Amino acid sequence: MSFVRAVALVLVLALVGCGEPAEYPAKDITIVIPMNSGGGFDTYVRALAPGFEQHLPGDANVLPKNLPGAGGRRGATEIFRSRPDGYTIGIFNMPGVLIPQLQGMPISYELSRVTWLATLGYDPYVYAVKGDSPLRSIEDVRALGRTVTYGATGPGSTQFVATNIINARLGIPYDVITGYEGSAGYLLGLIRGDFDVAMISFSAARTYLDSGDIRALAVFGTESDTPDIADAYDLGVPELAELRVVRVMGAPPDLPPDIRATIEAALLAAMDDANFRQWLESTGNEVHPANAVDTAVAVTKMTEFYDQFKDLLD
Amino acid sequence: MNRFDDKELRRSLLPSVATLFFVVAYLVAGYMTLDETTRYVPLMTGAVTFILLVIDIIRVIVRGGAQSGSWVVEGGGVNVPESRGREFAAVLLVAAGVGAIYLLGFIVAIPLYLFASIAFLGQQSIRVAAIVALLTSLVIYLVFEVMLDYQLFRGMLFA
Amino acid sequence: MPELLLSAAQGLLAPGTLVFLFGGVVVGLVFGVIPGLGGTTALALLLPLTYGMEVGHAFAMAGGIMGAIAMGGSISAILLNAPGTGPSAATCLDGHPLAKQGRAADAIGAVATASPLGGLFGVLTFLIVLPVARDIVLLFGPPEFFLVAVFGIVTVAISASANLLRGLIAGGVGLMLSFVGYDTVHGGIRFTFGSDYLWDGIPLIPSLVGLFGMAEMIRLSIEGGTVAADAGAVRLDGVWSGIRATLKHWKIVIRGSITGTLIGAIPGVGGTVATFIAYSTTKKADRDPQSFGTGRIEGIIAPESANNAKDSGALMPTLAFGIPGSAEMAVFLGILMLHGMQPGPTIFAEHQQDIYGLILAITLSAVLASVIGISFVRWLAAITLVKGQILAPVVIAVSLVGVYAINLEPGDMVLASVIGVLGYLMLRFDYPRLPLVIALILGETAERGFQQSMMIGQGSWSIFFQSTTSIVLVALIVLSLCWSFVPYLRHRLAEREPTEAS
Repeated sequence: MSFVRAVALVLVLALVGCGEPAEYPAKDITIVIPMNSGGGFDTYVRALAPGFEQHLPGDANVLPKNLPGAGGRRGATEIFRSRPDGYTIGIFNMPGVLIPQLQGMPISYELSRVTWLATLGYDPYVYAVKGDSPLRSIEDVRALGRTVTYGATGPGSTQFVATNIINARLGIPYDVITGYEGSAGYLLGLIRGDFDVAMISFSAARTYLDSGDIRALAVFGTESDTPDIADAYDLGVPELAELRVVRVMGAPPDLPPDIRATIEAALLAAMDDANFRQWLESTGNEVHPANAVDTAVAVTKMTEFYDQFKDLLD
Repeated sequence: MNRFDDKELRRSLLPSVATLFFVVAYLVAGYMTLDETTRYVPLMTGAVTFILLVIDIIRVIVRGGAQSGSWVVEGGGVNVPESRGREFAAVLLVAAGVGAIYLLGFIVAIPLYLFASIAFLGQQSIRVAAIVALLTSLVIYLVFEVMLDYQLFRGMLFA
Repeated sequence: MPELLLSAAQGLLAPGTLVFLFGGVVVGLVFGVIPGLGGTTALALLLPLTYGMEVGHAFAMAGGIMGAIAMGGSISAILLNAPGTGPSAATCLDGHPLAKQGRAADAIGAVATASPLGGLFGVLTFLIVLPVARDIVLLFGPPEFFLVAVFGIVTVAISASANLLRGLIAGGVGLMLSFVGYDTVHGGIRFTFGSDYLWDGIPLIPSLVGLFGMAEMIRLSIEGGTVAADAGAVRLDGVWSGIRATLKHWKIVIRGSITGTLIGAIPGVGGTVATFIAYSTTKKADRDPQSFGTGRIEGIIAPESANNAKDSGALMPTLAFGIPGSAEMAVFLGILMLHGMQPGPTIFAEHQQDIYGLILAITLSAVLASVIGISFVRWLAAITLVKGQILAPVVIAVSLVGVYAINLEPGDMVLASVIGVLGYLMLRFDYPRLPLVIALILGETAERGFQQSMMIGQGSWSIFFQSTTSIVLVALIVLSLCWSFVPYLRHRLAEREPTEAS
């Protein structure tokens, strides 16, 4: 091939290569799920994914990818370190991955720099006792006059942190029995009578509340789904309404705003989607959508909230 | 003659002593790096294992080299390979294979590993080695990437 | 109940559903055979596909996978000593020696018969126990978990060898390795060398694949020859003898399957331990325990029955409380939730027919998988005739890919290889691997159970004697120790006498 032809070829290729970038999304989008298949976060995302895919322009596929490990940190790291091109996004388990950051542990992400996309919902904590327990209110618990035992997974978990914060605020002498595996673990422990009280996320507690196996003495969330149960406001500790598991979607830092807007719109539309609503109905799950700006604000609030209790985190 | 001149004895002691080193390292590392609460059980377990190992070593020395109890290995028969060289080569080959996969990814490293193992360690003909290497790699690629939609590791150098 | 059972059966046998069942069987077999991949990975891949599927179809496919995985895993265990799945590791112990003797076909025949039978008994046990499943799950708290773990370790360590000391040492090392990772009780991070990889502890499947599979392949590549030590002795038609052997030892099938169901039902203990315990108890109860490990057919009948029964057992805590009885069940929970079924007190009442459909699917799948296995037995057994120098690297390569595929984690490959070399050294120097494996699996449960019990009981050891269940478990442990020490002492006394006489 003559020299001139070669140069021409290179120029043409370069022009083609540098041509108009394809419309986003031009290829498949990965949603990182920091938990194993089968968990609450996982099913949520998978139920949402089809609607999300539909509401995106073009016909790119949405591929959920499980990256469990290190309590959600592996997934968070993966999302944080991916290229900010809109093709890798994911769900963050908050405040699960926030706590190690506040504790000063060696982590590879910084939540304040994440590009927040939307909130899927939150799960308030329920202050629960065994179904046949004589305790009917937090005053009863206080009146026990002895150290109250709680069950929890372990230091560093949101639920453990919530337990510590609650008791510190309410001024009840307490002891925590750690080591239970997941919410099912301490739920079982509560029903079995290993300890007095447990803080359980509402979605995990729901069927057991309905069946009477456990009873809720208080719910910590901004709205009480069950009006006859005391909530944070009734107890005089409204700031504790922040004690809940939050499901937020985020992307790597410095995502171009137009791509962010596209993803945000598609996510919000997916949460409104009829099929998704139907799934929510049949599984008893809930969605509390919030857009990107509100989500970022909420994350900042969450960070400040837990930062206050930093010494209780261990 | 010093008892320890017996090669058989030394050979029988080698694994126990090596394990002993491991346990000691574990105990020291555990004591130094871990909090009191979290290190209690591991250290206790390590200590008990240490004692058992010491008993085992003493027992082997007292009884003399070769025998190690009437022992049936799960795999079926104690084996003493013909050559130490082959042992090292086999282990090295696996290590090199894993290293290659880590750096270069499956697609490049697997055929190389297979070829090297079959042709050199296995002493089969070059042709057989090449055919098996390529065929296996192809099947792996088809089954994992095409059918199961997994992305095979591309290697640290390329990822 | 019988009417629901019947309509569930009708639903399952509809051609539309059968297609899904069959698909599940094929996937289960393939994933079972490839070392590293297993039921958990298969179900995880299946999960997103089930979205939008009818419940009956999703369960048929899931059941198909669960029932066939065991067969696939056992085939690799027998032919290559590389367990395709965790629970199949116990089948390696006598299955591979049989293959080496040229009797791989016998082994496959035995497995093919024991699996569906074991699964069937498991299902029956499940159905009988179902009304009280919740109460049974509630019987197990931290003290009981600790005692079960100790029982498991003690049983296996003692039965693993005549060299009790080496067995205990291996168990000790296994325990030490099990403590690597994040300590949920105290929040400490142990021995992770600063990386996140070991945060959840040393991963089990890569360890098993390395310890049994890669170790054996390394040995094979060094020694040469073929898996079947004597090519002339290979009997490609031993299948019928294998089938007959299982039928003859039906008592072992029943015992194995009950063990599998019960132990499979204890969360955190799970399938791998169930098969190892089934193996160990059968070995101990036998007239000639020392011959186990050389190719006793009973040595595969017991764990195989347990292997298929464990799924029925694992369903109990999964459905009753949403506590997965095994890793596969954890993924299965996701399938449940995706279809709007919340595990808990109401699930049996609301979805009984679907659950029956699932159990029937698992049982039918085991039968189908066995039939397929037997149809291919000549080809499978012929693998033992392939030159080791070619087979070994290929199996190692496939194992590395399979192990990587579990979590897309390159560290798993490295770990499997390192443990593979360790396993080879253990083979070479006569250290039993079984106690190390069991301790590795149960170490975390044991420690956690102990720490929690101490917290609940406020430091007093009496907590281990407070419930009937724990007292029974303590008694079992003590009995186990005594039983095993008796022949040991007798052996030592017999050894002494001749020297005293002289």
